[in-house]
Amino acid sequence: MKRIQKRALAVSLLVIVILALTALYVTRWAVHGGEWAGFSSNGDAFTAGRIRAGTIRDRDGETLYTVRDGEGSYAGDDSVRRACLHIIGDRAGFIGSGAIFNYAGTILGYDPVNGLYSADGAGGVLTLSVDAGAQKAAWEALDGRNGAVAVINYVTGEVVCCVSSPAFDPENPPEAAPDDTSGIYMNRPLSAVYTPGSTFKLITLAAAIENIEDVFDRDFHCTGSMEVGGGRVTCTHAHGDMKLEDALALSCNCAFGQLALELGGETLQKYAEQYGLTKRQSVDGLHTAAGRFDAGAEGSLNLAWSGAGQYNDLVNPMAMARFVAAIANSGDAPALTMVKETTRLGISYDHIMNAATADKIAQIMDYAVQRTYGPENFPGLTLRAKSGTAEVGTDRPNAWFVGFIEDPDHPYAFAVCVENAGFGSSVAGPVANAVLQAAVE
Amino acid sequence: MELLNNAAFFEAADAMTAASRWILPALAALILLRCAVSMLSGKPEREVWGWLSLPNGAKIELTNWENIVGRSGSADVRLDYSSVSRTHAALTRDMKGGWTVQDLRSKNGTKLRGRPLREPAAIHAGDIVSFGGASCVFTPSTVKDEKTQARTRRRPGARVHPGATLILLTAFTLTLGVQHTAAAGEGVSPAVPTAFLALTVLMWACYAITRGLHRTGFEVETLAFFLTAIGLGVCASSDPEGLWKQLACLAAGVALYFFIGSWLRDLERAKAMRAPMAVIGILLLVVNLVTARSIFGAKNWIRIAGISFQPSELVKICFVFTGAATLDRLYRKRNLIAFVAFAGACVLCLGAMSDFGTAAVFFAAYIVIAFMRSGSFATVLLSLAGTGLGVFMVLTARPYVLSRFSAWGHAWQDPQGGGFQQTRTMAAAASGGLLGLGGGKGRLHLVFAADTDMAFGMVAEELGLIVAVVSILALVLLALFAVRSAGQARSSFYAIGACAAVTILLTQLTLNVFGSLDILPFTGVTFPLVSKGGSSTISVWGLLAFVKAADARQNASFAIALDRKKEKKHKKAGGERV
Repeated sequence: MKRIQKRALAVSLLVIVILALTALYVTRWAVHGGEWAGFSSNGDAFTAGRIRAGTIRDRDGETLYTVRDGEGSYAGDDSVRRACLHIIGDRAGFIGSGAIFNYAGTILGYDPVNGLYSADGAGGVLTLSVDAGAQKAAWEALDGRNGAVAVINYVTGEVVCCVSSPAFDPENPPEAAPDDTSGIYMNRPLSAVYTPGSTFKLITLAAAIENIEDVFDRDFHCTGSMEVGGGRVTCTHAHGDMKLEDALALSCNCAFGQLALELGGETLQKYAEQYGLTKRQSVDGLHTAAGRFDAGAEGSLNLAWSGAGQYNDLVNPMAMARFVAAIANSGDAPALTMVKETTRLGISYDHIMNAATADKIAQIMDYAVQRTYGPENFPGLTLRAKSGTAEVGTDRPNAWFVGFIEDPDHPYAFAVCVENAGFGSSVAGPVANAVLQAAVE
Repeated sequence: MELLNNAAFFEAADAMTAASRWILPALAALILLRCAVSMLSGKPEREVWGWLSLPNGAKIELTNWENIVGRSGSADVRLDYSSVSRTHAALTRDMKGGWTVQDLRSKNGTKLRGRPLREPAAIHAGDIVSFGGASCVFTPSTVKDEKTQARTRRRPGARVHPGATLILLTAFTLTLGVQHTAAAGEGVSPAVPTAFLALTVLMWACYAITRGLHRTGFEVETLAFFLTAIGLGVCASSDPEGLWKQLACLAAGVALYFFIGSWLRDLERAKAMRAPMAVIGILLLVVNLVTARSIFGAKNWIRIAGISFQPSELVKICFVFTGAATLDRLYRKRNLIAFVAFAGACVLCLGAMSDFGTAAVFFAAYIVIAFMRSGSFATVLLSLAGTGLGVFMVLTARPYVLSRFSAWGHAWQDPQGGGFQQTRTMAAAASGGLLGLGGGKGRLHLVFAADTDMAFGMVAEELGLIVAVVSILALVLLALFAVRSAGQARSSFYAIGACAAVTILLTQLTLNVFGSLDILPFTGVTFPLVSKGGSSTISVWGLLAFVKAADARQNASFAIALDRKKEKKHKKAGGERV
């Protein structure tokens, strides 16, 4: 029997396996429980695609959405409702980028002890990092035009404003089809890519600073157009003699075309990649659309234009805002989040840009504001910016305005793109101003 | 007024949920703890059934009904003389107190009363038995010795009273019953309160029977009833009307438990059942194969008179019966061959039914039985290699089987396809947190087959992670108890039976729980007693009888005889053995 007793220990192996697997599961549960509970097919979290309970607030505590037993109501203000539609989500569940799906665990009040149990049925509270006032200002400034507005805190990575137009009133949704082509379900700051136009010159500029010796001492001359590989790079008018900072402030295509040819397609591509513009960026695990940069053949017209943000260049507004944030933050791009950071212990950064380069670009963007955009158009803001007027084949270009403000209390970087709306600084500039004024209030 | 009553009712139901969330995990943990202390604490006490006196005056105790005599360190009676073989002879006792000595192909042979032993022979008090020249005097224990021993041995229940544990379990069951009744609200099926009340009555009836038989060990039953209560909760959430069938099968299972337990009490009778059980097992599987109805992929159901049942569940009991063997068999040449053939036939039939989960359960039991019978790692490795080859051939011949496993480990990448069940199980389990949403408050049961394949998820969702983990630990505890009992069991038949039975239970548990959590491939076997299922309930209770039959603590188990069989009659007839 002693032998049998020893052999019986074989069963203990199975016991050890079970205990190990149980420990593995409990660990996974502890780490991922919140995500699992917020799974959109979890019957305890959603009923017929609608989240069961909870409240979503903006960073100042203003209620954006509140739901009980699957019956939800949005903010009282018309503009706020539409402005926040894409970051919150619609009742039918067509907007996948909405917080309703992506932070369901928090909204429902998940905690490891109680799970989704809610004694009073009210669920939990999600406090977003967005500012309802800035959202409203952005929506109203877009004034019915299609476009995207992204503002992020370049120190903390919090998304302060994220507005997509067109939108609709979630309290009164249109007869909707999932195969909708109007774009009302698309969250443009996250999911759209646009031709960047001259805003891309910031990337070419960075590459030039780091790769061309004495580039600051160089003299550029613009006659209004430049012949390259059988075609022409053109400017709106002849800019004449310039230094590098003037070339950016005046957004001279000839000068930047020339720099692009000199740097080469591969170098530009390397910088576009390094600055995160061709990759999907994560906002709390939600991914932005990936941009694109194709290196034109050496010496080609395409290469020249790609350095000025045309040709096949595409960027995502949120990724652009993150890139600008790195300029503002001495090269460090913070990890992006839509949730207000109150308890965050450490903020993680990607060091994507040389600090000296970043500071240099910031100075030139300051110069551009002083010389071209006019500080008086942005009262009270210490603005650094770059505009873009992206030709997209229609009669009206996309208007871009990107930049940041030097303000320790409001360290905001932004990217604004208004579709088919006209000239960059004169169309997108006022939108940016309106949003920033509301955000610093 | 009506409205007011409704509001008051809902308020009361909510308060019930709020309270039961805390009460149930606390009770579950306490019940488990009390059972664990009662089953595993303290050093196992040996029984002494006789002695061998050596010429040097040393007296060696015979602590089992089956003892190996030999030079080996793992022999029960160790005779460290070079002329004694490592495994020399076996001394076995029967129910009536009669002893047999048998030579196990030793080098120098065994002599009984001076004559070489060729066949197993009866050995009596005062007989001189010589193992390869080492002569000993054999003294069996007397009835008086055994009575004294029975009086002085510790009885279970002295430190941890089984009645008190049962009171806790009653509180658990009734709280769960009230919670489910309240959660179901106005339209509650009468089956819900009835089921929990009937369970309470049943467990106290079993307790009364146990005490009536002067037995004080009730941990195995307590753990089984605890899991049953949780299982009734699962069924109450998913299919309240199904509780009637569940109750009927529970009653049948408990009856089978007492029947098999009593049957196992007599080792001769139990041994005699091995061959018939093998035949019944194969017949059941063959009938199943021929008349099989394919339900949800696996053809493992047959329908008789409108009642569907799963023969493969009952074959598990036959399997354990057939696999268990007494010591004398273990040392016979090629003792495993018949069993290997039987096990192979079972696994092949199950494979033909595409019931790979159950085939895996049988295979695990086979490995444990083969190892316990042969003690040889080579046998086990050979079996594993052979099976690996078989699995490879199945996968090559039937690639669709492979596709079932393709989602394994990647459930979240395909939540609407291959990871459908697993993602829902994990999401529901997370929704419950540590304390659960409350009995009857979950929604995982709306997913198809949640009450069987995703039972762990339902428990974790409604009763919380604590109760769900306690339900795993309850079966783990049963297994540890079987391992601990194996050394004290009166025959290796019981030890092997108990270990094989718990292996089946643990393997099912492992495949069910960790399959539904995407840690193992999803197979769809049941969580013993927790998953809904009639045949499976009956089968689990049958298997538990084997665990009970290995529990040789004093006055613990009804499946172990208290006195010598027909001893009194024997004594009157002359008592020459004493």
